[in-house]
Amino acid sequence: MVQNVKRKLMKHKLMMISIMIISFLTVLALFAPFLAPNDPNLIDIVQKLQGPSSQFPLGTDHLGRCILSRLIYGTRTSLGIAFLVMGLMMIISIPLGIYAGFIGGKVDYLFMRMCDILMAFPSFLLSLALVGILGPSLGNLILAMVLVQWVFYARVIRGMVLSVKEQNFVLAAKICGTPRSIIIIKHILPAIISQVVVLIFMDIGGVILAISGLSFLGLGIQPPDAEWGMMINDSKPFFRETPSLMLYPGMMIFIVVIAFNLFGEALRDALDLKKE
Amino acid sequence: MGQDPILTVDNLNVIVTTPYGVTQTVHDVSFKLEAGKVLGLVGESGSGKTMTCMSLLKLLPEKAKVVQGSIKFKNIDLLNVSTEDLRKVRGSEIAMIMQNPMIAFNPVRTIGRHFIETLRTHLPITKRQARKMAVEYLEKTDLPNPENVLKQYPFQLSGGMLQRVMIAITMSLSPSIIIADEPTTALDSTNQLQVLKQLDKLREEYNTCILLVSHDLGVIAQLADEVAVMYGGYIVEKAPVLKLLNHPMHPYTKVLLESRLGLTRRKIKVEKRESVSRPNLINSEKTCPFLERCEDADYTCSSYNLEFKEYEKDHLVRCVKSR
Amino acid sequence: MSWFIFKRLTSLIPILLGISLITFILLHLIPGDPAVAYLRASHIPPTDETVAALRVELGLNKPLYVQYFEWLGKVLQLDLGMSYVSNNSVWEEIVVHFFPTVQLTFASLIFIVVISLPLGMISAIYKGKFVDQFSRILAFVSVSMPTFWLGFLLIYFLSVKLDLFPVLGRGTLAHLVLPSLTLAFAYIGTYMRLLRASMLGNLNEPFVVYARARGLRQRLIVIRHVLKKSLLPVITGLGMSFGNMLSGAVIVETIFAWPGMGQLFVTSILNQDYPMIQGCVLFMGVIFVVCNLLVDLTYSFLDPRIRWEGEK
Repeated sequence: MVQNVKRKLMKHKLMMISIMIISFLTVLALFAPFLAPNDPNLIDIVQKLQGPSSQFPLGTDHLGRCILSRLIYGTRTSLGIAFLVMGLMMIISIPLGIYAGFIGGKVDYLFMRMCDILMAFPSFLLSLALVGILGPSLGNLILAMVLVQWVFYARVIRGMVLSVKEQNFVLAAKICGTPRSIIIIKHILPAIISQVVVLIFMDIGGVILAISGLSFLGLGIQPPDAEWGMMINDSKPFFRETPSLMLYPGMMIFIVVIAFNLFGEALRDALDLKKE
Repeated sequence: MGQDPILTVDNLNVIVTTPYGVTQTVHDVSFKLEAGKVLGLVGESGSGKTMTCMSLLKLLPEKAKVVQGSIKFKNIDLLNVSTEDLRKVRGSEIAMIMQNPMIAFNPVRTIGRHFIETLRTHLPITKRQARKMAVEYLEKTDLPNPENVLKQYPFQLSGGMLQRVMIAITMSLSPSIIIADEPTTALDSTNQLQVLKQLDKLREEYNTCILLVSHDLGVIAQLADEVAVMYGGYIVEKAPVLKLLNHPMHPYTKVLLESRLGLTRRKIKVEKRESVSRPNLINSEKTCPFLERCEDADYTCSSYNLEFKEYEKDHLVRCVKSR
Repeated sequence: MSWFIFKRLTSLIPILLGISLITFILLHLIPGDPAVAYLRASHIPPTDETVAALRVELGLNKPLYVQYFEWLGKVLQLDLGMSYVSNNSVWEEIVVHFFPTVQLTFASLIFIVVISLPLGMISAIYKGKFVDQFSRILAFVSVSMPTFWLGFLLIYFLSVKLDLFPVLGRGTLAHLVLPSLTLAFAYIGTYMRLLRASMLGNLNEPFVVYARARGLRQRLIVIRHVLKKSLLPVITGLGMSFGNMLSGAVIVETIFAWPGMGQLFVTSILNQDYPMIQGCVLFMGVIFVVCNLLVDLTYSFLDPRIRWEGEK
């Protein structure tokens, strides 16, 4: 009994911490121009690789840019792109998943074959190849991520729809002659939406990791825009002498991803309890 | 019935903790098992039969707990014995035959492995000796081609065959008590009789006592010497089998007897009740659990304490109105 | 059993064709004229004549489907073309770079098995206790850690500061430790939790109750009964991860200058060496599929239930 309560409290605490981190980062991203002490892209070779000072609270990088400012602006890029990618994927996969799952037929067949083929590749690899072929740029990065990964989400959503479809309330609606569109909007969508939200938050951390990974390889966000993965890549030649160049951006990625992962799991548990 | 009982259960109480609160699934259950005798335990699902059985060997699920009572086996207090001593009792002294043979075996291990590991846990023998013993005992349960059975995986055998394997494993260690929890429920009727015959043979040959649990009075009548009827966690009536069948005292026992299907067609009497509610297990006051479904219930039922009364010798009833 | 293998093998054909089709299309997504791109990559000024000559040479003037079948025919003879940059055979370059990646992946697999399986087992047995809480946190850290950051941290603290391991490159066994640990780390949490969940599920199965009722020792129940059954999904997962790691070592190989497939792939992307990119994608796709097939077959061999279905 006591253990149970303790575990729940701990989960609660973790959830509160993760929400606090996420809201803090959202504020950072939204108000970056007001919060950053310096221009993140201002190059000043004279000031390069300096330690913390009152002007540069976390020091400067190899081009003399303010690290703190770049970290703050990096929040914008990382979170913004991750949610943009996730949003685009959902715009494609929710309608398609529902169509394939609920109506089925030829569309479903074609869709499943496409899944088989696209899922025969490791997804990170295919994104990488696409960016490589199309040429590294922000637009191509987003395109490559969405093109490769939407199948996965569409397939999961299709599965959710399939299981809801067989439930009695949907069957009852069908028997009553409710039009398909109404069944989808009134019955299917509300039944799957909480699962989809959990899915988004469980996976957004992975998307952030993939984006920063691609940027780290020099294939994502292009200079001079600040992005954490790229900052680590930039620090490669200097990190032995000034490890902070690599330490801070990595820490940021780690904190963001772990916060979203904790939040996603807490959300899943909370919604699971309701179902019982 | 003059001999010393092998197992004495006294005033057993089990509670289960659920997310919605604590329920008591076993109330003041007491009974004795004597050598060579069969005690039948009848009741519908959820009446606490399985919980009672499981608490005898401390095999209750995590959320369930014995809160009161004592279980004495020969001279051992089973509720307060060390884990290691209890483990030695399990299987070799008190054996269990599980409800559903199809899921009681590990699907990734062969029957032979199950059999041999059991023997070698309790007896100081080699693998080869154990295998020989296994074949011997499988033969006793009339299983065809026992050598081959040992090589099979559980899902390759039928439920009836698995149940006989379980009986063979049980027999091989000649325990003094067998707990058979719904041994026939998962089987079709031809296999049911076979398994009951096996159990009867076992009792005669080894003078084993059996706690036979079933929701089916037919099965109980076939084998039991004494019967305890459970409802809502209570033993509501306990009597020698003939007395119980001929003179049921508790209203629930009567319902149970009437609802039995015979081979003759008869008018089906619909049980009159307003709600189909399950017995109220969460009530802490000791009112009759059968109150809501009872046809004879009136105001007296909720105002008196629920205690066992002796209707005549060996025939106990837990009903306020039976006097 | 052989029928099962046959069925799985035939189901492979359409997937392999799909892979080849995607790889083929990939090259036609290049912005602009591939012939121009080729000339640029090999530092020949693209004039009208050189471009036209090359279009004939590369068969770019033929209809797309003819190009596909010609290409496929060559691929089946392991002719993946020549690298634009080094002018070596793509196939030979891939073969040379494949072995170091296999080595790295195997070493990672050992790390994963040695760390995550015992931890997963212990946290299932001591559910809710300190070990379990610790492994839960470790799991979160493991899946949230950016590989490239972890790699740099390990290099900085273990190689630069403490001088325990060589920093870069491939050679001795000590060179293998940091890259494979980095590659393994992300998977450690996943498999720890997977085994834990799988064991917890099995611990409440009736077969465990029956095993206890037979008086078996706890250790025997946990290892022979629960662990054996719980390992099956873990083995499937590990096999699939193996395929993923073979092709996913890109970042780790870049950090540690490990001369494997990943590095070859990234270099060819940065150099816009299109035949090499195409060759790598095709090769890794095929390897991934073959790995999954092998896992399927192993699984069916390990799980008597599926083996039996196959024999029926």
